[in-house]
This record gives sequence, structure tokens and C-alpha cells, in this order.
Amino acid sequence: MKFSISFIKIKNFRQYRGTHTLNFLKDPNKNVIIILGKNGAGKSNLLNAITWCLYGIEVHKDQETNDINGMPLINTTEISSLNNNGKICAEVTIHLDTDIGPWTIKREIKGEKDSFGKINYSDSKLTVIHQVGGQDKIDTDQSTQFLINNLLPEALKKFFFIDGEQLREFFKESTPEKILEAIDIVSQLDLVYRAREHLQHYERHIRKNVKDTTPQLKEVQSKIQIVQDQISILKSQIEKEKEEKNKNEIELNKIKDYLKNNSVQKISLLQTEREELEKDKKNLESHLGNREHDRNSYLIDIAPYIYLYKDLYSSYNLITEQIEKGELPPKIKETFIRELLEKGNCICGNPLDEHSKNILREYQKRLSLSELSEVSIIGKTTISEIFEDISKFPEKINEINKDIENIKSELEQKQRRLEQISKEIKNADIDEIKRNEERRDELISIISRENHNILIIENQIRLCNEELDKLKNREVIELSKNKKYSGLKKKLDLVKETLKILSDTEDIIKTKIRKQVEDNLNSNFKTLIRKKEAFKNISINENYDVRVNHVHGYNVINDLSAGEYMILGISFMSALMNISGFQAPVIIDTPLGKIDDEHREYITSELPKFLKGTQLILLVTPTEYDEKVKLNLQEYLIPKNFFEIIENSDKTESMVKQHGT
Amino acid sequence: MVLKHNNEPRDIGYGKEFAEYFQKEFKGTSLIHPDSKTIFAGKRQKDLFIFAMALGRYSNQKSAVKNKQNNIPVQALSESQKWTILSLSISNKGIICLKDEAPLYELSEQYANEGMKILKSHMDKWGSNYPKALEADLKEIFENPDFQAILKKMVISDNI
Repeated sequence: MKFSISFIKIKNFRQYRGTHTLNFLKDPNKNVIIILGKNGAGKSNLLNAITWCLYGIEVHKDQETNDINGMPLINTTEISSLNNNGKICAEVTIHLDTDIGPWTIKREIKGEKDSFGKINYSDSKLTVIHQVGGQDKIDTDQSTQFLINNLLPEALKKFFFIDGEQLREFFKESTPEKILEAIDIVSQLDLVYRAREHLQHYERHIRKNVKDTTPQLKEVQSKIQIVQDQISILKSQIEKEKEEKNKNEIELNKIKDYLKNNSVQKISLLQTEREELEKDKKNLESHLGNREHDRNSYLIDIAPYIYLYKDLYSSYNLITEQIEKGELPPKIKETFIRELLEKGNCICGNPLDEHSKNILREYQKRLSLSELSEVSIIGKTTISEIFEDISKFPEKINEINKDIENIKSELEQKQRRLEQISKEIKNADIDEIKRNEERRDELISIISRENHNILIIENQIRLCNEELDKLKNREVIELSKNKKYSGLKKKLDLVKETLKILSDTEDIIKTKIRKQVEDNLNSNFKTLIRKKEAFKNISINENYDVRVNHVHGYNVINDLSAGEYMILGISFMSALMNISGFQAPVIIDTPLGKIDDEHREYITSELPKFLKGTQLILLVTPTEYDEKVKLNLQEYLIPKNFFEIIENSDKTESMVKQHGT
Repeated sequence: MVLKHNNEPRDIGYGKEFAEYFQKEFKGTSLIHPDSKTIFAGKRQKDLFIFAMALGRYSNQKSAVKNKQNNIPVQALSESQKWTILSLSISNKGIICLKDEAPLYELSEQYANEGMKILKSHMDKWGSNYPKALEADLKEIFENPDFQAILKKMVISDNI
């Protein structure tokens, strides 16, 4: 279903005290809406208002306000002016134009001050008014959320409602897990996952209900139960570990930003240098890995020839000997000689005399070897080439080893400088800087430990699954021993088969979607990127590693500019949007921050064209919305679709002003 | 021109007990899986086979293959790899054995069977240092006077 937003009404939501309305006008050729606001004025909270209204959650907020003790959702000035036993509410209403008629979605939350002055909040209430059979239908019950999820599933919201900063960082810090997660979401395999869960549950259930088991069958089934429980525990452990790791990575990135944007110039420069060094180190490590792989591959290729040198030499000599003795004449078909002897005539037509016939008979005897002349001569040449390769062994292996040593020494130098930088930052006079640097060290070692733990748990899960397969095979053997279990065996076989089909289906769909994302990503990136000739292509391999291939073959994923990262992010999100099949407005918060002028201009002139037909709402700061950007977007902007967030004098409240009104 | 070998088999194989090392599907144990931490990461089954066969032959050990799994197409082998297999028999039986290559490939499977066991013991012994140990081993053979004499003859005769 396709939809766009026609108006948003906000009442007492965070810094928006009172009622504020944003009316969006529609024009198929002018798809851009601009909401201008300074940092901290309330741009992100407008985006939050939308996600809260639709899904009951705010996704684009600071770590601090995420806290349970953070700012309340209802406007704080309104709360503080409440008398005891007084009531207040915050609400967000969004009106949508969909291809099946208009929809109104409203979410509200109520607060009530008790007689002791404590505020109690109700659960938020969602109301959806939509048309069914030409009549308005009002839904308020628990299933109402399903209606919104049909419009745009919650899992997909992050591909449409985007934080510009996070989008830029996505590929900078991206891990294969994040790519897999995104592909997993658009694959919409929920049905497959639910079916699998149900079958696993059913499998346990039928096993539990077996009566009159033999001791052997009982033992196997109890072991299956134990291993299955173990796998469940390990899976929840790994989820927890990943969650923790994610939190720590967010904190680490914040510390990096703090140091990089520090007002003490020395610290900022040191952090910038460190980031460059870390990037170099990463490239060198990858280069080292490649050269070690080259060495290993070469050793595996050359070793058989060296181990077999005696056999190869002896074979070569035997062939040479036969050739020299003339026992390997050119290949002549034995049938041809036989025919000559039978007819008694030479090919020139003259009759063969007895002497010639004897020569031919002698020749015929040797023909059994002549059949091998071609293959032997090829063998002789091949063995000779093998020895040629062997002779280059010391030279070649030393060259690779020298390369490896050079890379290692360069890596050591970089590492020493990194340690020096850390010491210098820790020696700063400001306590906050020292604290952050120490926490940085701590987080790096925690994350590395978490990565290690994740690997260990993954390995344990693999071993458990292997054990489970063996036990299930034993169970089948035990069940086959007694006819009375034939029904049970059939049921378990059916579950096993179905689980296998579901697993194959999941693999097929994921591979297909990965390929589609890769194709769309390449086509989007080629459209949006300015330096079209510099990049060959982008690939996502089976492990969900993304490579941005430079025309000279290097992977430059770690060397892109902020603007290029942004374009890569937009291209990826857009690929996912298309594949998801949902058509919703695209809202980007601070799309142009930290991007150089050239890319800024390019993005603003290309993006509206690229997303033609899709409502594009950009939440921008005055710095982002400079004269050039303004000029570029003018073509796609109805003047009344320009809004400005204005703060009051003490910056505690904000209001939205629509231009041209 | 495609060279026609005589009665070359369609596939060669290895014992079922080694399937987990040869096949990429066994992610944790496969030696050739791209994520494998071994020297064989990213190589193909045929490369592992030829390596194991050479190791078995070098140690002069072979054994019958049990529960053979024919998974390596002979067509995938390079001509050089084929000649390492053929040379095992030519050196004993003369070139006449090339009239029927099938038994020659069977012999190579027997050497590879034992070679896999040796390889596993070497990898267990050296762990992550196995590439270094292998390199040292090859250098030692290379520096052997016998080897040098053969190499001299071969390279010079070829240059002539």
C-alpha cells in the first residue's frame, strides 16, 4: 500500500507546548518538504512524534532521554503548571493519504497529578480511523497496531525514517551482522520463522507423549531434550552478549566523537591522527592477510611437485629414453598399417614386396607404444615445466616472506604510534579527557572479549547441533526396532523433512534478496555518486561482507569521504525500501551534516529526482540549508512546504511556523 | 587441442572419514572453507587431494580407501596435477601403464588416504605454525644434494 502524510498535529509533545499543525501540500513534481531548525530545537522530536504515533516508540533520541528517568514525553511546562489531581495529555495525530482512502492515526498519553504531587502516566492509546466499504471505521482495540503494521511494518521503519548521522556511520562501522539483520528484515521471513518454532515445539510435544518406551529410546529422547534445552540457553546467551556488545560499541563511538570534536585542539588532532592510523592499520592487516594467503596457497601448490620430484624425474627419463630409442614414433593408427598389409599395396598404389611387409609387421608390434606418443610427449613437456616452477621456489617464497615482514614492521610502527597517542591523551590536564581515554581502553578490551565469547558460544551451538543430529539418528534407529512406534516415527520424519524444507527456503530467499539488494545498491550508488568512474562496483558476499571496489581493484570501504558514506547509506536503504515493496514517505534527519560542499550539492540535486514520486521530508539545520542547497531544492519544493522550528527566548519550548501562511 | 588420456576416470575420491575435511559444508572442520584457519583456506578439494597424495607418497605410505566418496572431477585437475598422479606409476611400471589410467588414479587415492592421516598429525603437531613448518620442510628437500643434482639436469636440459 502506498501512502504519504498530509498533515501532522502535535499537542504537548516534548518541547512542543500547545497544539502545532504541519500541513503538507501535494504535487507529484515537487516531492520535497523542508523542516528547518537549529541543533536541539526539536527536529529529532518531530521525527520521534511520527514514530511514537505510529509504533508507540521514539527511536531517534539520545541515550540520556532513553533512560527511564529522562524527560517525560508530555511537555514539562504543562506538567509543572498542573495542580494536584489535575490532568494533562500529549497527543500526535497523523493524517495519511493512502491508495485506499484517507487514514487518521492518533496516539495519546495521559498524565495525572495525585494529591501528593506525583505524576502518574497512563499507557498510550492508539486510534485509527480508516475507510472500510466507503464508511469510516474507528479502531481502538489492541489489534489496531496490526493495521499500522500492514501500512508499514515496524521492523521496516528504519529504512524510511532515517537518522542522517546514523546513516553516515552505517557503513563506516558496519558489521556483517548489521547487513544480515537488514536483509533479514526485508526478506519478511516471519512466517517461515514462526512455522519453524511451531514445528520444533510440536516435535518436543510428540516426543514427550510417547508411552511404553524402551530404556534405550527413553535415554536417547531424554538426551535430545537436554541438548535442545542447552541450545536454547546458548542462543539466549548469544543474544544477550550481542546486545551488550552493541551498547558498548555505541558508547565507544561517543567517546571517539567526544575526543575528535574536543575543544582542546591537541586532543582533537591526536584523535584524528589515531583514526587515520587505525584505518591504515586495518588496511595493512587486510594486506597482510592477503599476502599470507598467497604464501599458503603457493606452498600448497608447489609442495606436491617437490615431494614427488623423484617420481617426476624418473617418469621424465623413461619417456625421454623411449623417444630416444625411437620407440615412440609419431602416432599412427594400427588399423592403417593392418589395412596396408591386408591389401598388399602401398599408399602410392605399388604392391608391397616381402621386405616392406616385414618392416611393416615389425612396426605394427611397436604401435602399442605409439598410441602413447602424444600423451607421453605432453607429459614430458609438463614435467619439464613443473621443474621450471620448482626451480623458482626459493626466489618466490622469499619474495612473499619479505613482503610479509615489511607489512608486519609497518604495522608495528603504527601500533607504537597508537600507544604513544593514547599515552599523550591520558597525560592531558583535563580530567574528563583522561577519564574518557581510560574508558575507551576499557571498552576496546570489553568488546574484544565479547567478540571472543560470541565465537565460543557460536561454536558450542554448532557442536550441540551436531550432537543433536547424531541423537536424532539414534532415535530413528530405536524407533525402527519396534512396529508400534511406526506412527511416531512417521510424524518425526515429517517434522524433520519440513524443517529441512523451511531451512532450505530460508537460505534460498536470503540468497535471492542478498543478490537483489546488491544489484539495487550498485544501480543506486552509480546514479547518486559523483565520481562515477572511480568505483567499479559494490559486492555483498555470502558472509554479508560489503566491499566497495575501486576501479583498480582495491576495497575502499574504509576510505570513503563522509559524503560518499552518506550516498552508500542512502543507496543501501533505498535498495531495501524497494525490495520491501512498501511505499511510504522518506524522512531524513540532518541529511547533510559533516558533508563537504561538493557532495552536499550533488545529493540535493540528485536525491529528489532519485526518489521521484516519494514524499521526501528533510529535517535540516541552517548550516546544512545554505544558499546552494536552497537553490537546488527550490525546483522540488512548494513554498508552503517549508517549515521552520522557532524556539522561545529561554529555549525551553518550540513552535513550528509554516512559510507563506 | 584437448589431450585425450586413456581410460581416465571421471572422478577421484576419498574415504568417508575425511569428508569433513574435504567438503565446504562442514564449516567447523572443513580445511578448504574460506573461513578455515588452516593453510588450505580457500583452496579446492583437488588441491587438498594432490597435497595429501604427495605427502603419502613421500612418506611411502598408502592404504585402501574405505567408503569412497567420488567428489573430485578429474576434469578439474590441471595437466600438471594429472602428471603428479601418473608419475607415481610410470616410475615403477613404465609408460605402458598410460594405456589404462584408471588404476593409476586408484593408486593415487590410496596414497592420499594415508597422506590425509599424516597431514592431520602434522597440523595437530604444528598448529598455526604449520605453514612455517611446511616451508622449512620443502626448503630442506630443495637443498638436498640429490634434489639439486636432478634440478640442475632438468633445468639445464630444458634450457638446451
